[in-house]
Amino acid sequence: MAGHTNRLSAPILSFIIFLFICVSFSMIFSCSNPETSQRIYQRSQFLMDTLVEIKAVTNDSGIADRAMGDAFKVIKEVEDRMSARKSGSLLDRIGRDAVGKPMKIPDELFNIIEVCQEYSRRTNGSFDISINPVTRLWHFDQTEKAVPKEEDIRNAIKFVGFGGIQLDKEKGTIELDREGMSLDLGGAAKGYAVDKAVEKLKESGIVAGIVNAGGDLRVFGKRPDGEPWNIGIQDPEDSEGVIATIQLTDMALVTSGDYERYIIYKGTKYHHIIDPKTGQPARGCKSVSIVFMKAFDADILSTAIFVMGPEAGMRLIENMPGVEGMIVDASGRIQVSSGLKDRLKLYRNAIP
Amino acid sequence: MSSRFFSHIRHTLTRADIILIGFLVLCTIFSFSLWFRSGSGQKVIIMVDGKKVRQISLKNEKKEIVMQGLKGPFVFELKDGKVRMKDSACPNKLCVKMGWISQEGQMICCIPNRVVLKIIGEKEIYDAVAR
Repeated sequence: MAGHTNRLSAPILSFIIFLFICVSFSMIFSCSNPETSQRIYQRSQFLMDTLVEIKAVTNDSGIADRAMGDAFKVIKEVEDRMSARKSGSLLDRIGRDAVGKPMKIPDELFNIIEVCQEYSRRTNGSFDISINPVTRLWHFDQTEKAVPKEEDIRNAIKFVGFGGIQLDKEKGTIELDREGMSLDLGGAAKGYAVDKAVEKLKESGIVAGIVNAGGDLRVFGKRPDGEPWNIGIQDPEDSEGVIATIQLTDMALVTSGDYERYIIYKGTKYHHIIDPKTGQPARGCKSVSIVFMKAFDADILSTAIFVMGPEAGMRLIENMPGVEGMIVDASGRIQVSSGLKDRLKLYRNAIP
Repeated sequence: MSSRFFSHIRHTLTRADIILIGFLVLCTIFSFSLWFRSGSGQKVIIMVDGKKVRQISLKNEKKEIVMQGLKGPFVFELKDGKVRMKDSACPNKLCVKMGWISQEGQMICCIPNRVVLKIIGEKEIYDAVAR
């Protein structure tokens, strides 16, 4: 009887030992994760008035360092070239030297302004790079805590109007209609810089990554584990939460929100997205997120649609091929474009 | 029942078998402990001018810390697994107005003072957050 039990339990005991070995090994290996040598390297720098974060996937830390350093350099160069505020900058010179007479500008800037003009036409001036006379009255980052006088805004807005910008494609020149006009690429430069940085990373041998310039972001390739990048979108009503997540590969996502830069004056919040027609902060939305292949276009569209408001804005998104988006309107209601409904994981209810 | 089981084991297994089983059990417990330890513990990293200068666990921390930014000092507070900027040497205090953050991947930036408070975990939920 005892011999019988012995013969029976020996396999059971070996099986238990075998299980222990399996469990131990699987646990040890799941901790060390040896199946891939690709990893995510990350760096961040303060550029373009925001924190720019770069993630780069590679198996070589030297390549990662060089590529990210070069990408930051590209962003810094775009910042220097596109700045409206620095006196002596190209945009500053256009405001002085291109009034009433054509001025030759570099191809890169010409192409950027040409795309901006196209979007100004499509959005009936909700996006307008000639808004500079108005935006420079607002001080969202400075110590000045007052809002501009209405009279000053009324005077400045006379000089706003994209129709007053003339481009000559053959000669590569720009001309401004009237004295007092000036340009501000603030609604497009960040997105443009993000695209340039992504190109630089790819050229430098980075297989996948993210460039995130404070809400203007673009991803390429996949995570080292083969999964798409998991991107959160900030909840405009709650600093602690994200309102939605989306899985992206090779796509840009740009969010414009009323919480990014603002001042509170006499109990009212004045944020940085200014309606070119009124000179005042646009009041129809809390945040607009645009998904598109390029951050440059997505940046322009998120600003334009924020100004257009939720209804006209969503119509524009639905009418543009390849463009998807999410709008949180002033009352907190969420609208999601048709192509994004299945891809976006919302943490609050959208209107159906 | 159990005494019969153990006496049975004593008769079937050699001393070497028992040592081996004991060793494997210890291995298992050890690897489990590794696994659980790596799963917990959000941290907040503090960056000044793009460089990481400090890292603090968010778990069971309740304190205020003063550090030096690029323009001047900043104060941040840790409480109940959350962090907020309490003050910073910046004109507009947007960082202070942002309030508390508690989720991995979230961050508070003070751009004028070049300070970032960012919550990280062993496994980040988000690869990036569009703010």
